[in-house]
Order: sequence, then C-alpha cells, then structure tokens
Amino acid sequence: MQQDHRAKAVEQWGDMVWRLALARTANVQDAEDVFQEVFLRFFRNEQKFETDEHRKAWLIRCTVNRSKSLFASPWQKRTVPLETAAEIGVEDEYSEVYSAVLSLPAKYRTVIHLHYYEDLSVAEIAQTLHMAEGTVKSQLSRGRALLQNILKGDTDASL
Amino acid sequence: MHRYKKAVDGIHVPDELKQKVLQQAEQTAKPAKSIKGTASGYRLWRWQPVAVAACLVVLLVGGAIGLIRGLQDSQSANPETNNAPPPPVAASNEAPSNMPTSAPQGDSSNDVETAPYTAVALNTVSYPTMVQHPNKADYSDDQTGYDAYLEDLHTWQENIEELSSGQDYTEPLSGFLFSTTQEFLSQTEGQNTVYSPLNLYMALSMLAETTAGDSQAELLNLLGTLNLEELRELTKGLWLTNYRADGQTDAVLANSLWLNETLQGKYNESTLQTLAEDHYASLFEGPAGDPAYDAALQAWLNNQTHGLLQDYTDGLSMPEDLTIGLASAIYFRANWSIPFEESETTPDIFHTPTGDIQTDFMHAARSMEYTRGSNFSSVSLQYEDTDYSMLLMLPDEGISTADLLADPDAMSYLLGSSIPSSIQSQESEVVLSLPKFDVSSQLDLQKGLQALRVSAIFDPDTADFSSLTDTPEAFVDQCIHAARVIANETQTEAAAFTWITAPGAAPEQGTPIVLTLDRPFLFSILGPAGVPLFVGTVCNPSNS
Repeated sequence: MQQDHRAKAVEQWGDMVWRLALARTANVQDAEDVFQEVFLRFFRNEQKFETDEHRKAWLIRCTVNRSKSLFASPWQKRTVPLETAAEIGVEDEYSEVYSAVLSLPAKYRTVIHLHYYEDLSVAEIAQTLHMAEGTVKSQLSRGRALLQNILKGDTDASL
Repeated sequence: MHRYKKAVDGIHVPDELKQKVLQQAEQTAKPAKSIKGTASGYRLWRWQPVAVAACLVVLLVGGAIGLIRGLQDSQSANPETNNAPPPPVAASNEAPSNMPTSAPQGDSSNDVETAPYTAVALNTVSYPTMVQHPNKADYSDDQTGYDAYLEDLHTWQENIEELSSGQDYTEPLSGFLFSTTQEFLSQTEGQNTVYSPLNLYMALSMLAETTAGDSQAELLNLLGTLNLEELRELTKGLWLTNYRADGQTDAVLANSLWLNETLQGKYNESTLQTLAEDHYASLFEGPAGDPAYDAALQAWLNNQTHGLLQDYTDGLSMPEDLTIGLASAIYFRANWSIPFEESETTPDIFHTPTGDIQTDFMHAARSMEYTRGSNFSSVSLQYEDTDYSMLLMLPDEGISTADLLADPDAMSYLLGSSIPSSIQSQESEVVLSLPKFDVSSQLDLQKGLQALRVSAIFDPDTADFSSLTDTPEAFVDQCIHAARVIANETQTEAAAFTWITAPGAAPEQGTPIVLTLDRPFLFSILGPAGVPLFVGTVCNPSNS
C-alpha cells in the first residue's frame, strides 16, 4: 500500500480506531499500542477489502481483538491510569459521563461505545464481533443499568 | 447517551501517533513490536484446567407392575456417548453379544469400573458438529502463523454464532431461577451446596412432555411457560445456545430416558419422538429391576459427567415397576482466561461454619470486574471462551450466605439477571485470594419441588402421565439432583480486608481492592444463554 494511501486511511479511520481503543483499554499507552497494531495489520491486509463497510467492520473487530490480548498479557499489571479526560480532548462538561463509561467493566464499555458512539445496531455489533445478539443486548442493558447507578438517577437523556 | 457522544467527539488521535504509524509502515524491517512483543505471534500461556463441573438429575417414575421378566438373552448396547453419531441401533436387537466392561469412553481421569450392563439404545442423538477452537500451539510463531490463527478463530466464532439462537433467556426463566435457587440452596444451610438451574430446567422440561392435566400444569407454571409448544422451543434454544464441544470448552447438556421393556408397546411413540428430537434425549430400554440395567444407567451418567459424580451414581437403581426414568446431566470444563500462578498458591485459614481449617488459597493481583452491592463484594472471572464466567460473591462481615440468598438484589446479580440500583461494577485493581475448591452435594428435589407447588406428580392418586403411557398409577418415585464443581488454579497473596462500605460508594481510582474469600461464599457459573449453569455455596472448600 502506497504511503499516501496509508496516510489517507489513517485520516479516514484513525479517530474511530483511537476512540474505540481508548474505550477498550481505558489507558492511553495501551490504546497507542493497539492503534499501531491495528493499522499495521490493516496496511498488510489492504487487498482484502472491497468496501468501506468491510474496512470499518474489520477495523472494529481488529481493535477489539487486539485489546483483548492485552488484558491477558503479563504486562497488563501496568496501571498507568487514563489521564484526565480533558487531556485526551474531552470537553469539561462531558468528562463526568466519559469517566463513568470508562470505569465500567471492559465488556460493557465496548458495546456501549459501539452502540452509542458508532451507532451500530445490536445486530451489527453481534455480526462484527461474532457475538450472539442476546449477549449484546444483555451487555448493553446491564451496562446502562450500571452506568445509571454510577451517575445516580440521571435519566437516559442526560447520558 | 447523547452526552457520551459529545464527550467522545472531542477526542482525536494525536498527530504524533499518526506519524509514528506511517513511519513504521514505511520500514521494511520486522513489524513494530509493542513492549509486549505481540506483533510476532503470541505467547503460549500455561493452560490450567480451571473449572470442571458436572451435575445430574435423575427422576424415576414407578408404576403398576408389569410382568417381571426373568433374565433374558443378553441384549446389549453401549450407552450413547456424545460425539459423532454412531450407526443407528435397531430397537429390538436379538443378537446376543458380550457386554462391555471397560471404562466409559472419554474418561481417562478416573478409572470407572463398570459392572456388566444391559440396555438397548432406541435411537441415536446427533449433536451439532462444532468447529474446533484453534490451538495456538499448532501455528507458527510468526506473523503468518498469527494471521492464520485469527482466520481460524473467526471461523470458529461464526460457527458458534450459527448454533446460538441469539436469544437471552434470562427473562423468561427468571421466575424459575429465583425460586428454585432460593429453595434448593437454602435446603442445606451451613454445608456446601451446588445446584444446576440449567440442568434442572432441562429435566423438568422433559418431564412436562410426559405428563398431562394438573401434573403438567404445575410443571409449566414453575418453568414459566404458558404451554408445551413454547416450552419445547425454549428448551431447544437453550440447549443449542449452551452447547460447546470445540476442544477449548466443554459444555454439554445430555438427556436420557430409561424405559421398562415390560412396557414395550405401551409408550406413546409421538411423545418419545418429541423427546428425542426436541430435547436431544437418548432413549434406552431394558429390564427394570435388573442390576444390569442399573449399571447401564450408572455408566451412561458417569460417561456424560466424566466420572465426577461416581459417588452419587453408585447408589442409583430402578425399581421393577419402573414406568420411566429421566436422567439429565450437564458437564462443563473450561480454562480460565488468565490462569492463576501455581507457584503462588499457599495454605491459609478458611473459616467454615463448624470451625477453622487450613486449605490451599490461590492468588491473583490484576484488573478485574469488581462489584459492590449493599451487603456483598463480588468479582467476575472469565473463562477462555468469554461467553462463560464465574461470579464469586462474598457476604460482608456479619452477613451470612443465607442472608444473601434471601436478598433479591444479591440474587439478581448472582443469577446474571438484571442489575439492581444498589449495585456498582467497575474494572478495578483487585488483590484476590480464592481457595481452590471441590464442592458437591446431592439434593432431594421432591421436598423442594413440593414447596414450589409441584406436587401432583409425586402422588400416585393424582399423577398424570397419560402423554407418555396409559399405564395407571405412574408417579415420580425418585428425584435426585447431584452436582459438583471443582475450581483450581494457583495464586499470590492474602491480605487483610479493609474495604469500607457505603451503599454505592466507589473505590478511589488506583487503590487496589483486597478481596479474600476465607469464609462461606456464593458462586455461579454464567453462560451464553443468560441462564446460570451452576449456582452454589462454598462452606468448606475441601469438602473434608
């Protein structure tokens, strides 16, 4: 893949991968590692992709899978915490809800981010991550319930 | 979630990171390695078999005595194992043959001495074929190997996706889950108790097929369905969604029916067929009352449960006037996603209800899903197949496991049901000390079921088995549920428990939470269908 194509790909998909990697790892350094791995792998596999839809699904799945193996490595004891939300670009008035989502257990963070930020439907999430739809549904609803407990009584509208 | 969206909108990938990636791609040298070295393959972790669990439910229905047959020509067949379907066995196999006396298949860990047994298999149940989970050791330790592994991993995931019904069964089964768990785990207070809701559901579902009138109505009521058709669909979906036999995880629900050969011709064929097709049940026929037939039942159960429940199967026998026996087994085996370090297991004190004992504790210090309720702490440990997890729930000081069993919020969480408002979960650094445990129990279901208003089936005057047979006076004679869960790994450190609770209080970021399970606790094993495979209390981890 030519360098200018690669640069274009990073421009087009970079934010999506970065934001998902942060949601998955809740840790800037880990998210950086994931970001690099995902794109290097993406560049190597460019010839496989026909549509942007395909690319998007592949990138999401890859980001989720790459951050999975981080959890299981001996290095996951590294506890560099997520810098305050402001440092990564979150506006102050939204930092409470952002921190709340990122404090949730990993599996809930993932589906919440994909559903509420990337606007994927339950079926799309299930298909992309090779999960059962029932599992996605239940993780979404449990994640929201946990979030509401943390944010104490805020309605869905304020999330 | 509109605010979350706005929050994330502000986040952009830093320019330096973009540049870094583009530079690395330019290089023709080895792919960029993170500190972890994951780019060139992946490490082979030591797999410790972590959870092994088995459970069986046996229901024996006695009835009017048919003619007692004397010893007949030995007709024999192997009780079915649950792999590729063997060639069909004819129903009336006249040819005498030697009865196998070797240990059941697939059971290398226990030497199961089986008595000669006799039974005729009336059908073969074919379980779905399952793509095997790729084994990392089979792939080369480089980029090509890793890519190939990922490909095969996706194939495996797609296969599971196909089999699963995609439904979450938590809601339809929640009434059943709550009432049965509270009833059965309360029966043996102060002692280890293990119970499989999923297994019981399957067994009672089969039973519902064979009954009619009030007998059936009471069962349907407990199972939470309006009619038999709905139940059948639910059961089949549950069975398929839970099924795993992919070389990485074993989760199999095995059902069987044991008929009395003296009643041959008196069973409703269509009911038998439904049981075989919709409940994946193996049907056997033999001389009820003959120890050789008992031996066949025991062998089938031991085979399905990999020898784990021999202590409980040994005593099983079918009465001469048997109408039908229902045997249902569940077997589960999975590795932890992250094993405990064997070198860090140390003996320590566990406070059982009857005194302190010394037992091996495993230790882990890492990031985990940690939950606080109003009167308990809990962690969730994942298995390699992330559809499965074990929940460990420790009552606060001064609270008993019985208190938690009576607490709807705690139960809701333990059973994988809805999240009540009193609960907070976070990904936290946890220092966990967990005893290795091997707990088992046998429950008399009759008492519990009667307390749950299933009683007609136990009384010869009221039991109605007309869907199965016209044999009068059939009723449920024995109703046993036995289960065992073994959890092992090893781990690091026990420390004093200093968690101070306030409802909803969350730990400060960065402060490790210490969770030491050195007094009676609850656990559950949750699976993909939203229905727990096992629930139990550990009062004495070494069952001594």
